[in-house]
Amino acid sequence: MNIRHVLCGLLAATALACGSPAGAAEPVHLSFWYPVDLGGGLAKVIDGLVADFDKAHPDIQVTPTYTGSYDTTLQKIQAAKMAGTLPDVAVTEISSVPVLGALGAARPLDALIAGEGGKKFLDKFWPSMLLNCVYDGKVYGIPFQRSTPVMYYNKDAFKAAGLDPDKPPLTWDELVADAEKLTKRDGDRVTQWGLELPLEAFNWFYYALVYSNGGQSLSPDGTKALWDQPPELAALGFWHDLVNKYKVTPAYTPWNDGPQEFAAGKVAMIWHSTGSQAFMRQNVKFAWGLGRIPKHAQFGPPSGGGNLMLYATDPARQKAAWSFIVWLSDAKQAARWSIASGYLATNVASWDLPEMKALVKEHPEVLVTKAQLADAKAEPASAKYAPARDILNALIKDVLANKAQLEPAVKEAVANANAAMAKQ
Amino acid sequence: MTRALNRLALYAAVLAVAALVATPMYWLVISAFKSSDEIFTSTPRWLPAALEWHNFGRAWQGAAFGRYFLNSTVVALAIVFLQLATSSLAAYALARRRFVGRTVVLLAVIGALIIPIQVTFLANFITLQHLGWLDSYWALVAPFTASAFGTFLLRQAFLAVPEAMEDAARLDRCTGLAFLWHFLLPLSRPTVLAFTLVALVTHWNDYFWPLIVTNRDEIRTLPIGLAMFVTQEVMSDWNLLMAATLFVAAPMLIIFFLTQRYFIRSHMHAGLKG
Repeated sequence: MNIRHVLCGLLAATALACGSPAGAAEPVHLSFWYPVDLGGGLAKVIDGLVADFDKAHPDIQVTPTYTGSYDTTLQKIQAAKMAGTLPDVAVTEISSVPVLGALGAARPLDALIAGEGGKKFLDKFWPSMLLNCVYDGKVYGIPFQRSTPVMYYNKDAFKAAGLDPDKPPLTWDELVADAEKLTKRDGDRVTQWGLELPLEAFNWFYYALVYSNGGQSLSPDGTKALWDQPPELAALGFWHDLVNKYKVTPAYTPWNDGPQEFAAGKVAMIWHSTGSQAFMRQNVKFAWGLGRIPKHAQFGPPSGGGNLMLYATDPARQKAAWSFIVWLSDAKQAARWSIASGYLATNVASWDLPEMKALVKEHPEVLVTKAQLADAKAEPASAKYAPARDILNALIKDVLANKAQLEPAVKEAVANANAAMAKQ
Repeated sequence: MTRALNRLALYAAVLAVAALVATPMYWLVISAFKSSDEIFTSTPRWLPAALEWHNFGRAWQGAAFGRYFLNSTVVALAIVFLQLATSSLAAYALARRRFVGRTVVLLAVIGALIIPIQVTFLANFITLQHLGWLDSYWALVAPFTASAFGTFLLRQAFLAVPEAMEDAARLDRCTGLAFLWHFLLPLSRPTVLAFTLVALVTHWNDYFWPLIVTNRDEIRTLPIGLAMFVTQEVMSDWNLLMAATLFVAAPMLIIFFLTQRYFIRSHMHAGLKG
């Protein structure tokens, strides 16, 4: 061992010793709450994303926590706000942006966005995906696990019914005509439904019908339900007719049953989330395709899903949390999340990445979801919308089941909803 | 002859009700063994085409079930033990002791029976935050250390023990807690057991509270593991969910079958005398 080795060793040791206070400084610990489907699948994707973020950012460590459904996540955040135990970052359903903004739980992001390039940063996302990110003129959400409804259809059933398997219906009229040909009966019993519009708590397909008929459902200031206006009334009337006049659609399909019923061949066309593509690819044995949500006055699928929102109050944590949000919503990660989950790649640049191009090559139907990104619309939202949402849900169920007359039921629901929204 | 016919009608009715209760259970079991594309078929299939045993393996892998089993067991047993201790003491005081305000206390206990968790959860949550107990076993157990239901049920049982027995015990200098321990509790054993079982099942199944107060996977409980199979927008794997439900529900089902007569007794007692 000569002197040079010793010197080198000493030097290295000094460098290490000097470097360690900065390098080994306690990393910022961030909590990240997310509500998604897990089981074998997406939890591991989230864990993988977080692990890669931690690796790339040694000074930050993120702990992901599963928080149940969108609703329980919201309840958890509301309770945490009261107790002062908010997470640093959380994914919440897009219509809760005004709720959490008004509560003072979520932080406005404008200053952080300005630091990231302002408009240039926001322009990275599809404009339609930013619609549900704003409350009171400030940006609160960054698009993450976002989706639109899309129409899955059975190409084999199309062929059997004498329809062109590459031409799904594009208008309401074509939708009815095709659904009638696709509905098969054995006496009074339906063995194959032409079309299913599964229902969940967020009334997504009501908005899909209303928007494609040129309606709005909720006044732009978020205070008045517009369900009794002509486009809205006609939209629910059309849904009622699909069930009760043309008899091509069952009155009620639970949201989670839809894709499995489609896979089992019980229904030839079904509207569902773009997020269900992964399931369809794994489980559907026949040839299937994707179609746009048909238009009447215009194309206008509602957007849905969850946004990333920031809750940290301490400046150092805010900075770390923001860098996590920026990283997660960046083209590369947005593409990775989209490919693994079936949620939409909300970052425009994601679609130019080789992995996205490979996906499009293998599953060209994905381009239908991309086309819908261009004309997707906001989901109705306001700080006081929750009770109206539930009233609308009950209204839809009653009208479809023929338990209530369309016009009087709608009038009553509008009165109740407006009173509920004014009261709180 | 008419008697035989009556009997037949009775058995038919009982069988029909039994079938009504058993069918969903049967459906749970066979769905757990089905493959994913067999879950929904246009005609219901009463037997799976092939037994998919690996559903159970996949379901077990789906969440940290080993840890959740341990947590659920610890939490449910701790709650039941504490509830038995506090309920029997409170019930003893309310049933066998005279003191000012006894009726008011009893009414308060009965009133507490009808308050749902949604009303109290925020207050409990904030209290736990002040104590620094959020996200710990304490948060899962502490809010449930007392039970209005248990207090009320045991009070009714203790009332049924005759005064004369207490007098006799007093002659042998068995009073107060000794009387509770040596006489009241053993004499009320059916009620105690029934309450134990009801409380065990309730807290084994609780989903909302553990989800709200915990963030760490290491202290979460079984129902949260189950919820992970139910998806938001994407498809649910029903067969895996059923398989997981089966092993999560199994301990309670086994305990129920072994002790069902006490369950029935608890519901009869809830009808109440006194």
